Amino acid sequence: MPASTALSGLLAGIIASFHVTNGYAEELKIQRIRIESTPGGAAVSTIVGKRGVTPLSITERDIYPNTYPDAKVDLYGKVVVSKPGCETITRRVTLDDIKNGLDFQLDCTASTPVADSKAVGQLQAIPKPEKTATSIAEPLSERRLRQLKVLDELFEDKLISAEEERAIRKRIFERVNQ
Amino acid sequence: MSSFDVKFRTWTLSLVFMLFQLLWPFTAEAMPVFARKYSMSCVACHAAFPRLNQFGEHFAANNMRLPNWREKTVETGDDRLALPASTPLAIRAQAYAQARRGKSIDPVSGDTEQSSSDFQSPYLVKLLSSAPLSEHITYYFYGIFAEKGTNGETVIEDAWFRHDDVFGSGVGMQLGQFQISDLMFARETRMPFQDYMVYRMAGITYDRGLLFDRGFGKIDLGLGVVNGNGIDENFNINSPGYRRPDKMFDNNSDKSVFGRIGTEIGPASLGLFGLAGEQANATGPAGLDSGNRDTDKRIVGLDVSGDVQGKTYWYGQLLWNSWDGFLDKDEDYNWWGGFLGADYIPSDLWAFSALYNYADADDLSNTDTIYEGIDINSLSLTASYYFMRNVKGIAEVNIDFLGKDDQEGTYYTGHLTKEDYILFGFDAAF
Repeated sequence: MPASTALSGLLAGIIASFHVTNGYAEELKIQRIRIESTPGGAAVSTIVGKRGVTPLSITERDIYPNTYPDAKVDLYGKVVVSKPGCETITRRVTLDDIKNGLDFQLDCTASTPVADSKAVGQLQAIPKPEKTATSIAEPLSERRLRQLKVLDELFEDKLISAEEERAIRKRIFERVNQ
Repeated sequence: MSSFDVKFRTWTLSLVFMLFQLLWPFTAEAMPVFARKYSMSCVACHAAFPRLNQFGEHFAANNMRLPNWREKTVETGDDRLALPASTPLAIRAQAYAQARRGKSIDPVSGDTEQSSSDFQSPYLVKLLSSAPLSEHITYYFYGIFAEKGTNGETVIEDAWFRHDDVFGSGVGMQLGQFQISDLMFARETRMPFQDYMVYRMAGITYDRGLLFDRGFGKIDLGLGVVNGNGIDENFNINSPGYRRPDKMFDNNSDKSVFGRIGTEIGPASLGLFGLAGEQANATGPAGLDSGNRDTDKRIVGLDVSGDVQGKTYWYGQLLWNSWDGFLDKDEDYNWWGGFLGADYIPSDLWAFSALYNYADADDLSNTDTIYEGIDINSLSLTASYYFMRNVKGIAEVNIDFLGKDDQEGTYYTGHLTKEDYILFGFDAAF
């Protein structure tokens, strides 16, 4: 058999095997990012426009589109979370955020926009929310239950380690008890 | 244990430790340098690796940094020191298997070597590095190990410093080694294996020099000056005396100047390129040798590109070349060529590319020199499958539309064999 024929056959085989493995790869193709907020129901937008309200999942391409209007370049790679009566938070998304999801704690005591805050979305640096009419709309016990449920999902999906799970669980209880 | 053994063990352990230090960031995070530095996905800058998307182009034009670059440096307490927090290194590796009809023919003797199939593995291994060093200065370099199968040598191709705001004028200045053709289309970010052949034929790839750029609203202007003799040569400066250390890269006082003016018209980007310089004449059997005459070289180019909704990228390039006195002193040699291509990226798993290369040797035809081989007329079709964002398998077929020339004259020059090929392989960056 000529070598070129053999290589062509091999090439066809490889392409065919790509198709066979497609099912597995399809699972890889779209990275989704889970976004939550307290209080819930906050509007989430990115450079491509409004994506919905929390809790929701968006895709990497919602944050990193291949094309966009030049005037919007400052929003590239960021999510904006807003809710009437609460602060607006703009955050640059990191790989850790994509892996772990984002949990925004909105300060509803003032509606001053916060630009590109690094602290927001990182549980260890979340400012303590005041007990305003909006922020207590969801009872603390329900919020804690919801957060623990999400935590369990993340742990079961192996998106966080046991150590991280324990640390976050501890913080959830500490925050609620404050 | 002898002192030699002790030294040997010490050196071996040191070497292993150094290698570990070098490799650790890659094995830990497995992402190229910018993604690693800014904790961003590859998709932030690439529609499909290595094709840049709009933000990737913006990032490159912004001196390859994000506004928060300083956060990713070591906290030394010294404002005048911005050491990257981790060693900014990345690797790109390619390996292919290929079946092709081309032969290696010695232009003088006609001796022929042929292999209808070839494992080009590794095809190349690159070590890349780049980081912002100050508010306005960024460096970038990469070295190639085992380029195209050539073991035993390392080649530094891109290697430059860039200041993005010289004297507060808004003018960017790049000093170093770069490709002149990068002003139009960067060969490194093309999707097909097949090259943009006219850039190689026109000799506007790597050179050493200065490049200035500035934007004026919708107009982008780039102006540069280079040695004009590529990156292969250097010469001892021995006239000051015995065993002086310095060398020079240029072998004459002439420089090549070039520039491009670009703008956007509707959905398309359009650019006009020009170059004026000198090159050594070709002489000797089949024109294989460089002569002592400096001859005029002028190039005019037109490039156009655009995209459709970030899924289809298209591009085209034309170059008109005028090589005065290149072979015979009193003859002018004009030739032209170009390429046309498109990348279609329907999903995050697949990308399909087509690249058409064309060049006509024109006045260099029938000169019994290797420059008859400027002729090309080929179409390359490529399928890329992404195992991961940064790891792809590619399959490519190249169809040569040119007929096979009969050997004429004294030497074995021109299109004596067909250039069809089919290849598959891997391309990864991490």
